Amino acid sequence: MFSKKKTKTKNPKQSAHREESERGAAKASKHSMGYLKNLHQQVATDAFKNILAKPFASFLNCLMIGVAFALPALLYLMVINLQVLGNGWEGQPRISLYLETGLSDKQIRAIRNQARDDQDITNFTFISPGEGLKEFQEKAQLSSVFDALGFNPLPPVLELEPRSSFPVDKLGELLQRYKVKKGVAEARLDREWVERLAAITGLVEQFALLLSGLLAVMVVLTIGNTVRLSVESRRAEIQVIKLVGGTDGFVALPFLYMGVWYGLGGAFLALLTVWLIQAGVMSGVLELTSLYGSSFEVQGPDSTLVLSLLAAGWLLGFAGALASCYRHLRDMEQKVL
Amino acid sequence: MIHFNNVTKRYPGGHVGLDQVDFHLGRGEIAFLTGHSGAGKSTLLKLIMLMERPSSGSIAVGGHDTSKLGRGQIPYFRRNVGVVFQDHQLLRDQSVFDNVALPLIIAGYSKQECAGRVRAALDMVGLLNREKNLPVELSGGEQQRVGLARAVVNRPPLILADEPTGNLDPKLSSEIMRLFENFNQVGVTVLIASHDLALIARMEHRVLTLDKGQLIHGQETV
Repeated sequence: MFSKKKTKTKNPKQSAHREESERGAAKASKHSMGYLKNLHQQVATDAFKNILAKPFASFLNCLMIGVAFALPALLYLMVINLQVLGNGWEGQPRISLYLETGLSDKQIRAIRNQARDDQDITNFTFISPGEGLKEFQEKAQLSSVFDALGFNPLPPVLELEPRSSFPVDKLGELLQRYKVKKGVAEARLDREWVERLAAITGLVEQFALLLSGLLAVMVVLTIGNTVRLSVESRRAEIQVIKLVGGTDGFVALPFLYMGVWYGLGGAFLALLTVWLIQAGVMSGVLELTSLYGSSFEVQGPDSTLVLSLLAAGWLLGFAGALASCYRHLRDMEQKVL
Repeated sequence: MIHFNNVTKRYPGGHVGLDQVDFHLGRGEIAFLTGHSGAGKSTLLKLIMLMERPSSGSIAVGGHDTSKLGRGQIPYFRRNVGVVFQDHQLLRDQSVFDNVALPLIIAGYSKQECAGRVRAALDMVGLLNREKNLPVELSGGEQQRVGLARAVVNRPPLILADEPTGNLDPKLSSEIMRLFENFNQVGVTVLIASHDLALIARMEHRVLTLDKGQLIHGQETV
């Protein structure tokens, strides 16, 4: 910039100096990729070391961020586990008709015929009290309970399978049609609880999303505040860098890396927390599911959750640091001179 | 190199930092800027460094009208001006070598290029053997010389100094001043703000004197 203006120089040393600075100016105007790579590596490493230099304070910061991340992560796990639980019963909804005990074969046959002739029913299965008992004993291994009872408490059951094209919102009407039939004690749509579960799951999901939004704000503020304190404590250094020609980007880079490291550190702690909680809960769940004769397994953090957490850590850390730098570096034109 | 054309700097609240200052400092010149505290020495240097903008008048540095430089261009502008501070402003947690290398790193030099230039600059101020030390391990005079090395390592055509000998005894002060003269010998324009009148008188260079924001002496090139 300065060297553009040509002036006569008497001193040969002078002109040599000027050529040198001209080359320097050309060099400074564009950064090579290699230089940028080195700079980023250097700055990232320094930022990491700075965080490690104050292990206790840094750990507390990460923990705060980690807890904020762990809450929505746990809710997410809850949602996917509920979904897995619900999916096991999805598919063709069935109607279970619990018949009155003590019906004659003729009466039962009459109801079966009605079901057979019904165009809305593609298939039906009759489960006699004896068959029901056998199935129940096999699945739940509760034979001792029934042995103790001394009689079979199960009613005969007729399971109806509506045709696959049957509209879901009309299932209630179909159910009602059979419920009022003579000899039918009770009619149940076996999807009812699945639907309720789905509704609850949806609610939890919405809640998790809302909570994630709020906690994301919290993470941005936490990291922003940490970065702000660091900017303040290095004010003198920043002022010097600016006066010797450091761009805002050069000044902000270490702080941006600092934010990113904090975000990622928080995400790691959150994952650790989630894994620990899952391990703690697992034994209890296993006990419970074995009681119900279910093969349900608790779903741990999947790759989506791990990647989302790390991405969120990176992004929110960057955002927090950027917001903080933007506000503070602008008014750092200081009083060094 | 530096053109002040009727420059006035008024601060919010009415304080006048500079009042219609006119002067020209030629390329390759060396000059002192003097005056009592509050006479406007710092304001003048801040205006050259674009830390502040004039209320009226225009300033050209290196043939460029500084009012045309946007915020984004200021860092690149500053790389052509070496600055020496009264309290040297070294980074305390970095070695002498790293402190001097800072302007080069900022300007995008590779490490190999850096090392040669940093050592050359340290050699000029006689501190080649202290490159691994931290600033606190050096004496006041040595720290100031590191600041000087940092100001010239980028080989800027212009060097500004704000009370560079303010904290030093007379012997160290004249050593520092001799270094400035050495840089001037190789064609660098030098402007030194100082109120050490005895020292200035001995040096026999052009003197710009400010009083209450007005330039009362030294407008004309000697």
